[in-house]
Amino acid sequence: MATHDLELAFPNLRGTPYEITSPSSSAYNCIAWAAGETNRWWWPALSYYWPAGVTREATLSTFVAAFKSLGYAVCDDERLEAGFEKVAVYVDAAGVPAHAARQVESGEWTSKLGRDVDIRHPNLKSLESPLYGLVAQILKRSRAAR
Amino acid sequence: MPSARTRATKTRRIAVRGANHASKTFRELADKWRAETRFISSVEKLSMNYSYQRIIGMGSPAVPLLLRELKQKPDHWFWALEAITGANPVPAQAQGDIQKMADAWLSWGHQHHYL
Repeated sequence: MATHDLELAFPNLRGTPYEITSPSSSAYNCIAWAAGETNRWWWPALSYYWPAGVTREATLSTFVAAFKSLGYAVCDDERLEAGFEKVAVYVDAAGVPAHAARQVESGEWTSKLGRDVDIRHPNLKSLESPLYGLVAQILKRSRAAR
Repeated sequence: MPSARTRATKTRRIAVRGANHASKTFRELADKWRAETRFISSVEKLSMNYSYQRIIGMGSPAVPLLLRELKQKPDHWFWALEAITGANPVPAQAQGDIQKMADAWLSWGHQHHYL
């Protein structure tokens, strides 16, 4: 896909060393990718995958609960911590979750962009935009727990 | 006074023209929806998109078009199918698996003679 389209949707990517790391796929979304899956679309809607026991409602608290069910705990910042994997949940202007990203061992972040590609981006600000809003919560878990 | 055969021919022509028009409209709306929602994860936002809502508004004539689209390129047409038909054939173990969800709907489409 043209990087021009990506940079139109996410202007903060311009001039940064981001990289497209997969082809487009409708099989999984950003939440699945942040959770480490590539075979299901995670969303708290009827007929979609959502962790058992977590309320099916698109709110920040239910997304936090979904990641907690995978062993994550809330944390304060996006800094790289040895031995820990972090995820970040973005919410739109209405406070509704719109995106999640996962930190890789280099300290960069990886994101699946809807039905489009995966990218590696230098920081969380890269994807802050009208489409995805702002980062509202960061969580972490031990890499050994993955 | 036109004969019964003439009236039947005219009715068939109108039906074919209607189907062709629905097919063309669907194609345009589906392509627009794909382009406009390519970066979106939220199922609610995918489904509340204007083009997607217009497809739902097409009603029953959209069902075979949606099922054929699912067969060719599995995508998030499940909300639309459910909204139009009131059915939900996706079993719990297939939730979120787009190919399996599409297969469940295609099977439903065959059972209900849409395909």
